[in-house]
Amino acid sequence: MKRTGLLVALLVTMAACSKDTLNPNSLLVGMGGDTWERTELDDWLYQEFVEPYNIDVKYKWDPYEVNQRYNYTPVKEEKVKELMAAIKKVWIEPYEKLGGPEIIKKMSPKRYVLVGSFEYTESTQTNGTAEGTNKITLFNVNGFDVKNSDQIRGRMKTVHHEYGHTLSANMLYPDEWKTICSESYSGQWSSLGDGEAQAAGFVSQYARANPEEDWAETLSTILVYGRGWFDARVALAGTDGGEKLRKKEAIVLSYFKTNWGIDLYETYSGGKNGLMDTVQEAIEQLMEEN
Amino acid sequence: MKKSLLFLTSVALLAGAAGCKEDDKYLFGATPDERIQEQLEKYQSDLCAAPCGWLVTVGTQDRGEAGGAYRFWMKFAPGNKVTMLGDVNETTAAVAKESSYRLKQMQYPTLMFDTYTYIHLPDDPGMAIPDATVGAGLLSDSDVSLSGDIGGSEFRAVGRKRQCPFIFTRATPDDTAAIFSQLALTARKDTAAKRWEATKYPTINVDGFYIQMTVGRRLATFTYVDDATREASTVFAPVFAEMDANIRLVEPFRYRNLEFDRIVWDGKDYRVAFAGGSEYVVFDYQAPFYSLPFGPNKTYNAITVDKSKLNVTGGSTLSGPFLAVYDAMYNTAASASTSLFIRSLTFIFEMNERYEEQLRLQVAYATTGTAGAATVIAEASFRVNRRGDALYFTGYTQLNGNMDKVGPLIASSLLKFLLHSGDAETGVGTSKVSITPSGNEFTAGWVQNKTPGLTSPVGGLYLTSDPQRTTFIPGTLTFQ
Repeated sequence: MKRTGLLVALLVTMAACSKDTLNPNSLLVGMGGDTWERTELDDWLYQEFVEPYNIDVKYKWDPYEVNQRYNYTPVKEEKVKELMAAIKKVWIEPYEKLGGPEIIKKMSPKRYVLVGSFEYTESTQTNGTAEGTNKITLFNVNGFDVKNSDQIRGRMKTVHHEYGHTLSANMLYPDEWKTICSESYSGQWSSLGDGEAQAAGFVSQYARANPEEDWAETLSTILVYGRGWFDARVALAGTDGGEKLRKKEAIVLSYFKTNWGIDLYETYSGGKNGLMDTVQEAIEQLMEEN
Repeated sequence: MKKSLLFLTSVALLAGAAGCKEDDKYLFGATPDERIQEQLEKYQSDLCAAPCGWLVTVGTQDRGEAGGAYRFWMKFAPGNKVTMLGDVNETTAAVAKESSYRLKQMQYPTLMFDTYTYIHLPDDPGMAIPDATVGAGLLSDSDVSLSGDIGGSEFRAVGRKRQCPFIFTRATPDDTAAIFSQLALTARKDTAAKRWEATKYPTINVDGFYIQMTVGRRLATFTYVDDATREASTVFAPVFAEMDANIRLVEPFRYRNLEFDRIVWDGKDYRVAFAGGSEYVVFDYQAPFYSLPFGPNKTYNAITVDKSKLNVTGGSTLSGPFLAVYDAMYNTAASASTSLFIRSLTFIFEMNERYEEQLRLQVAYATTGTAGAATVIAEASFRVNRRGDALYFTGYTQLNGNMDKVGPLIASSLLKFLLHSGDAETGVGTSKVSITPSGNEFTAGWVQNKTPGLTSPVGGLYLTSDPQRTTFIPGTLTFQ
């Protein structure tokens, strides 16, 4: 009888254990996301970026979004709409106009993280970073002034630069790109002067960092500073540097036409606006509006 | 067999009980996520439940010109909005700024000011505050880790990134009125700072052990002699003036098992009250109590004697027997046919190219007694010889032509006083200088600064044979 009782107790215990299965409805610690009372700014960002493009604009400070090694500040709330409206006008709308209404929906980073200060590394001040094709972090948002044309171009260059990475991650540029300046790429790019970079066939100092940054820099400077600026750079680069810049320009034009059906310079051949002209127009409109 | 069965059954029952997790969810009555959320809501509710807001002080890790304690007034509202004033500058003290905040679970529940506001200024890597470091700011914090109960009149917290200390004090209606009138956050600090300026070497005597302090607007230093090394140690401490002009340390200062966090103004004196009841009045020691770090490659290597600055009526830093030497030198030079008016003497201790220590004497003089007349420098050098702490000078050498004029006029006063032995007649150019050595030996030390308005550190050379230091060559100390 005693044995029977013990066995029953054992069976009951084992039966209780059989219920110990994963509960799909259980709450995971810290996975609920951050919440706060929605403001007009949150509503505006939702309407302009989340609803049409599923792009989340994260402007509230979150230390997990940045490199813990460096020091940052959050954004000034009043700068968020000013910057994001400019981004929509100078980045999204020109691409939609030339590449069709689906291009940004299909292919864009899904998260913009805004940070108030620059990212000060040991030797540089970083304007922006791209993590894969998903996340773009823009720094120095607090320094953005929509009334200052240099600031607009500088900041929009960062946006187009980071989008250049998104495009090349979806469709890589031709291998030939890496061979044009293969001897001149350097991890010490920040200590090499701009004049030297120009003579070596680069649009900027940073373009010397590696072929990927060269690609993004070349594309973004053409779009934001225009064909006139690029022609002047070629003229000042000397014979060798000028030839290399022209080769890169030709690859960028061909890449856009072949892969995305977008002309950059169509004004010059067909009388219509290309992507570069459309971006230039958008910048000028933005300056007039403000 | 029965024992084995019992044992097996017991093990199985225990294992079964330990393996069952069905009830873990309810161990504390809620899931961890629910409990975290509940705590965050409680903290937010407590922060909002201060009708006059909070006075919040943070101590930066930066110990430079702009580092120390920064103080803010904050009023939290339930809709994630916070209104803030700060003592960073006149604008932040007068113009309230609204921004947002939220409570987030990180390693600890964390209060985040998640859009830019005044508390980010000391933390801004872009030099938002002059004298901050590019890339680092003032090494402050703006995410605040909370723990324990924050429902009382005051609580302490710690910065998330750098562990900067925070004090949150519930503001009273009087505080609020003061804060909103006439830049009270900065004005109060100025008042307190002025009281400290009048005391040159604030010191407390803790039962025979001295602690010397400097108290600035944001940062204090506490200097004491280490028992083991006999060296002076200095601790930097962020401080702020409370609304009643008392000085408060953001973190307590600990000394020989005692600690204090306030220096209290009693209407006449500042007093340091250690925890436990002992009170010590802050008095002016007039000179540091530790040895003077003086010589080549030390904190100071030059002494400048300027009678017009050291010997002000009502004070007498330049006094005693050396004053007679100085006056004799001045009068002889001024009454000479060439009429040289000596303005200052500077004694500079340095290494020459052969790594021998030398004293370079600069005599600054003008050729007319008129204020504003051009100053000319005559230079000579001596070899520095050391015997223990004592030093003496030999090997007088004129270094420039001006000393040809000045040397003979000061030979029987200053040069005699300085020269220990030998080289009775030396020099360059046409005028040989005849000097009768005094045999004096000197020791470097601090001098009591008795000159009103003189804030520079004052030290000099006293006669080693006169430990009471009545014969002193005093001057302001610099490093050249």
